[in-house]
Amino acid sequence: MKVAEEYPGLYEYANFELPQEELFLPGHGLCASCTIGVIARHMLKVLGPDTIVVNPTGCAEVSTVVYPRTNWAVPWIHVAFGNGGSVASGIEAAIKVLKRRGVIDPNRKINIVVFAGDGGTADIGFQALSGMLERGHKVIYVMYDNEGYMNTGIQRSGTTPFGASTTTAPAGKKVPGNVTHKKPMVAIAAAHGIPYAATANPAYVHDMVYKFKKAAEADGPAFLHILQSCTPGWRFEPKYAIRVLELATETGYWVNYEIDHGEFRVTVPVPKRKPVKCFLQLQGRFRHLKPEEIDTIQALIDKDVAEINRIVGREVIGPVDPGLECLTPRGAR
Amino acid sequence: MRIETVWVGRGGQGIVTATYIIANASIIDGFHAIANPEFGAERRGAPVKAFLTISKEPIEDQEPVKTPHVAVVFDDKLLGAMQFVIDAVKPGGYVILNTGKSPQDAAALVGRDDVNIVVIDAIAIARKHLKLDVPNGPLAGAFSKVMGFPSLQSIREAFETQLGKAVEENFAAVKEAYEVAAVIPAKKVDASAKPKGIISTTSAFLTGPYEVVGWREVNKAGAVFPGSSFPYATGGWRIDKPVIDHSKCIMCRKCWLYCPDDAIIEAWVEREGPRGRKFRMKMIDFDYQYCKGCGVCAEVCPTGAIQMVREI
Ligand SMILES: Cc1ncc(C[n+]2csc(CCOP(=O)(O)OP(=O)(O)O)c2C)c(N)n1
Ligand code: SF4
Ligand code: SF4
Repeated sequence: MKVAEEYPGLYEYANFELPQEELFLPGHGLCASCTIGVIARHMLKVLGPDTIVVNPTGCAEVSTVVYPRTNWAVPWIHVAFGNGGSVASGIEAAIKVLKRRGVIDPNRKINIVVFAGDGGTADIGFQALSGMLERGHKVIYVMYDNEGYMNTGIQRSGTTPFGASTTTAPAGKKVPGNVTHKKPMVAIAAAHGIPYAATANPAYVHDMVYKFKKAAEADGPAFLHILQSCTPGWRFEPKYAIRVLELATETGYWVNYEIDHGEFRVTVPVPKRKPVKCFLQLQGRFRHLKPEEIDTIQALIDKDVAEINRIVGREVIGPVDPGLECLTPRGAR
Repeated sequence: MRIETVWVGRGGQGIVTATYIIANASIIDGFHAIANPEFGAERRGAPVKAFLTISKEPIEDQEPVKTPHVAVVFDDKLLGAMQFVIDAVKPGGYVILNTGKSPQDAAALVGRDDVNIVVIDAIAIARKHLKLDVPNGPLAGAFSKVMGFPSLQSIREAFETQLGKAVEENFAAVKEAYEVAAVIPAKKVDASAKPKGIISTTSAFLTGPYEVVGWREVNKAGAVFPGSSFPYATGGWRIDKPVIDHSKCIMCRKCWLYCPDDAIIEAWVEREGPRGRKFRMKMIDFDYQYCKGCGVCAEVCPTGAIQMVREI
């Protein structure tokens, strides 16, 4: 277990030590198989009951708080689409004051989390996020990235990948769907000089959980960019919700890394990559792509991977091995 | 002549498309038609409603249908949660129901003898022809059979303009449904009687008991009690349910880890050992009140201990 030696603490929760307690309760209206549920469940397992969730509009919000009931067994506040970072900043400042005045026990550790979609983060909530990071509020910002505005009908967002067909960037005869590449949100957040920024993937739960823990322990703002599969938006069979996320990492499309006080680490090394085709062919939003467009995407990924290997200084994400089976057979992982 | 219909089903089952297809096909056949779905924040699997009115005369109003002549129900588990739709059907009208149950059991489920009940296993037909769980085509076929319009040929044309793809497969499903739909005629019809209720127009988002909260009970700033979602029984969203073979389960807890709905629980069960000694052990079990039947647990299970079994 080389990774565990290298990064002590990574597998702290691995061996059946995830808390049983659920603070994200069942009875929510998320689509069947939506991995927002997986992210939120484990997030609250790690952060515990002393957590305040700030939730801008999006799928997570409309599906989990259907008046007069809520799934969140922790304090939760709905905010507008664009101001998650600002509201969380205000809550953090207020708690600081209450602690100073002795209204709240100064030693009590209260986690403040913004749980926002990619649209509410990378696009319309961007200035609020940037302001929050700049002022150094101790808030954990979790961006669940389903690569589109899914709640309002699958429009493209700043993190929609190249070649994906969406309702506002549909694939046609001349244009293969979306033509921009994903906005590098972790790099942008880290450039604010914050102590902790990371990417995560719910298919790698232990890695994700470890990052929630590190984010909670950071001495300032923390930013987590978490990939999330969306059945209607990505158009795959519901049962593949985790498989498709696994493929994202196995193909190098999604690299799990962290930037801890400026230090860059890949937390899920991939010795041999599967071709990106494996990830694409499971989804309907890429169905229209021609072989040369798939090659373009493969080239984009190869470039990103080379850059990551260069930063790390050795080959953490290996070369493409076309001999690998796309879906890892049952029980092999 | 003016026929008002309501279509109820789940997000992702193609309710809206079905009403567009029938509306289009009726227009090709020389009728006037208006299809108006009711949109809310419907996720995949959540109950959805759509209205469709077909008439010989031009239709001028765009009102939602309150007491339909025909109710098309895409999922027999909606009968409980959306009973008000069945109650609202006019005496002598039709209830078209997608179910895997026998016509007699299905009729008992509907629980009315003053309406004609049409039973069709649209999911089996859709899986056969399209390899998908979208029962809308077969239900359109059943509609065409019992109402006598629109013609199959027009439905086919509507598929071409509306979908533009998989026309053959969809049409094959429609045709099969047209042939096999079973009709149980109404026993006694009192044409002067009024329906028992009307269809409310609020968007039905979750299945389960609803509470109408008056303004007096609304807390300050709309605050609600944390973690109060238990009465929303999202288990009604299922088509398939997970079933576990305990002899294959190695308790790796992967299914528990990845269930988005917190529907996998570890239950202590009492077992008898070989020499009659009783002991307690932990086993994986499902909370069917909340399991949406997504199939993720069966897919991630490393030993294949979980199977998805059809339920409706
Ligand atoms: C200022 C503003 N513009 C538009 C909307 C409508 N709206 C609500 S949710 C949403 C999409 C949210 O997308 P994202 O943040 O990616 O979350 P997801 O739905 O994918 O979970 C939009 C556009 C809004 N609520 N406020
Ligand atoms: S639309 Fe996508 S993100 Fe939204 S609830 Fe459904 S699966 Fe989840
Ligand atoms: S089918 Fe889906 S919702 Fe049901 S127990 Fe399995 S993972 Fe959970």
